[in-house]
Amino acid sequence: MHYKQTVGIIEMMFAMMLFLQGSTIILGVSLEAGKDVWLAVLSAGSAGLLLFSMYAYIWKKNDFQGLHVIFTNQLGKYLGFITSVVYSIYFAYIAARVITDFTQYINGTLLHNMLPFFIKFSIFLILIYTYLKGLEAFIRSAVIFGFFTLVFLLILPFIIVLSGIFNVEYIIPYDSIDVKQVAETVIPTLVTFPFGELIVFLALFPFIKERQSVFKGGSSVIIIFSIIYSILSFLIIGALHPDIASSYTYPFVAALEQLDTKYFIQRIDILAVIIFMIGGYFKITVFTFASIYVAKDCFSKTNINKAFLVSCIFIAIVLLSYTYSENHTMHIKVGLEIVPKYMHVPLQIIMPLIILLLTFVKTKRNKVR
Amino acid sequence: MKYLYMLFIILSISSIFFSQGDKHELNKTSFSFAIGIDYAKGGYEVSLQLINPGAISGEIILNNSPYIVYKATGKTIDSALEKISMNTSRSLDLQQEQIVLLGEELLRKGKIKDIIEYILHSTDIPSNSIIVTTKGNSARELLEIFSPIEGISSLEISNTLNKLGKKVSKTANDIKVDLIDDGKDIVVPYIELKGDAKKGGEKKNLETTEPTHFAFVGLALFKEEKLKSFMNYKDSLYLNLLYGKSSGFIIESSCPESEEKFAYKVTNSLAKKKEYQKEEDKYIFHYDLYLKGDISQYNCHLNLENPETSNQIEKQVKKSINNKTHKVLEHTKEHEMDPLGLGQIISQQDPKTWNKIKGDYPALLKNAEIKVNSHITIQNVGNYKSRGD
Repeated sequence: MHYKQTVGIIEMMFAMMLFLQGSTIILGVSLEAGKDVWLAVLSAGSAGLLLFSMYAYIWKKNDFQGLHVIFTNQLGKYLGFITSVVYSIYFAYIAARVITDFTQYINGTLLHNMLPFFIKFSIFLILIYTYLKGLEAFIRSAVIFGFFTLVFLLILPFIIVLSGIFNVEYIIPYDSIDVKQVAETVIPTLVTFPFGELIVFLALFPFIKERQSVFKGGSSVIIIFSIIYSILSFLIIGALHPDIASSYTYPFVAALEQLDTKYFIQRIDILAVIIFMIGGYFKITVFTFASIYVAKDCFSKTNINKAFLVSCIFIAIVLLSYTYSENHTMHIKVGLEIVPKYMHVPLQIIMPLIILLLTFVKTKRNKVR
Repeated sequence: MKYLYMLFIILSISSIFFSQGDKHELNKTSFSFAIGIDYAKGGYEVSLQLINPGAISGEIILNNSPYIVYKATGKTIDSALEKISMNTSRSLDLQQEQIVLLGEELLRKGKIKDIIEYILHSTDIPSNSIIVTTKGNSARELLEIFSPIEGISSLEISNTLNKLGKKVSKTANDIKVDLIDDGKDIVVPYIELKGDAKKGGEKKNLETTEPTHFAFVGLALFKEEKLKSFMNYKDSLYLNLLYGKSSGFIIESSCPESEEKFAYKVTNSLAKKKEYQKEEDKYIFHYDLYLKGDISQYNCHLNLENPETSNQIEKQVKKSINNKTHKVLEHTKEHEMDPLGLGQIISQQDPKTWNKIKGDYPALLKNAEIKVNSHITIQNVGNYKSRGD
């Protein structure tokens, strides 16, 4: 299939940044690691870097093609078709999960009495609108949003330290590192969410103009994000206390709420809510686009109406967002315990490993010939 | 694409017909800055200070009271709040809460944990609202006072506490941390009513020069979850001095050569290096204090121009700090409390010993001793230097 190469690498990097930030920071997954949180995030980041280089390698060795083409090349026509459909559903499901994440987030922090349906509906409308405008416009908007987000995330540590809500007592002694706890947090939850989810970009990379610089750009985004994320998590632990931070529903907002007690910058948590909504929007939309592109590639040879297919995926996303999401506890339990183990690990790590092996063998064989 | 455009347009139009789920018009909500919680049999008595917008702003300012205090009892705080909302025409907005005032009796019954958990759990009350307790009067009585300076008592309480420095005011999160940590007891600031409570609730209170008002009086000390004793203002400042930062207060000490007094005004303080040492059955804690300050009133006869004199004065200040911290420790020993977190220091520096003595810990504090090594710097001696007569 032919891809129109319209997206620049810088724009894609900003999109990846916002994607990684998405719902990661607000949910505070890393905080389970207690005061060694910085180590947990950094090791998850390095594992994420490994995963990303694997994805980039697969993509490069398969002639810079989309996910469906890679699967059919490596697994054959039928198996490739099935795998592509599985990935398409998987992306749609993750998009639905992030919609629910943000619905509950808005319900929990801003609009307590709003019916979740209305929030989902509004997100859904924005989603359709973005799709109508196309991928290029969407990825380009990442530069504007990403710039503000990045500035905010870079200033935030200084505000937290200067305002004095950071307590050094909470994180001493520095030298004792609980390796077991760190490992439990990192594997599998923190590696797969958010770093492993970058596999979704394999569906969007074919639209990039500068193909050679994807690996460099992507890895620098991962490195920058891991550093920012580890600093922020460390500061949250210092502001809230290791034992308490992980029991907050939204630890990051709770930490920022403390900010305004005695200083002139007040209610910065509302700004944080908006910044994270931008991240959420990018995460949802990237997954939706990926799901649609993979599905379109799959059915390109059949005579199914494209618009019908796309509408089906949109409706599937909305319907999927109602599964296991009656309440926040259930949603988080499923999202952080079951989904990483039974969906993320097979589809983000095991399947790409198989593809990597096949690609490797095939290129070797081609060389011999 | 046509389908999608149609879908988009239809859905957008249909969204107009959704009823607004979370509609609260500004002129239909009632804001509250302070909430008071008292003990009632089998539950809580909640009193809510609601701002009366008609009396503060608007084109025609009504001659009403600027705020109203409603109270209700309930088995849970929420049910009491619900009863309060029945009294008013507006919906309650607790998101601007600055002060949570807890009655003395409630804390003596050991209910602080329930309240803290409630505030942390609540989506309405912000987690940075300051927790304060009362002495003598109930929380409701204090909220009913017309505060003479700020006009609204909640603002007066929060400003009074913020003025005193960083570590004095406590949020729910801070108290929860102390509850979780082993070897440290909770400390909550308390305020007291000065004057007649009944007169304070009338608007006349704003018109006299001797109004009923409240004052920050010190820290309430807890043993585990129960309020045990109150510490006065001066002793609490020394307690704060050992915690870390507190500034802007006076240390009185006697002159090197006579019984006359001089005042040392602390502008900056820092507590460092809490080291722990065990000698036989004694637990000794070393504190390093770094104080910077000025000489204020000076009744002594030594010449301040002489550097030797400042050395002597520094010694005197050190002596009075030692005496006072000793007194603070005696007070905590008497009630078997540990507001200083001495147990925490042991558990951090010597976890093995801590696990051994954990069971009968607060009682062991009888053998504790604090050694303060203070480093005093005298920055200014005032505009008029010497009094060498």
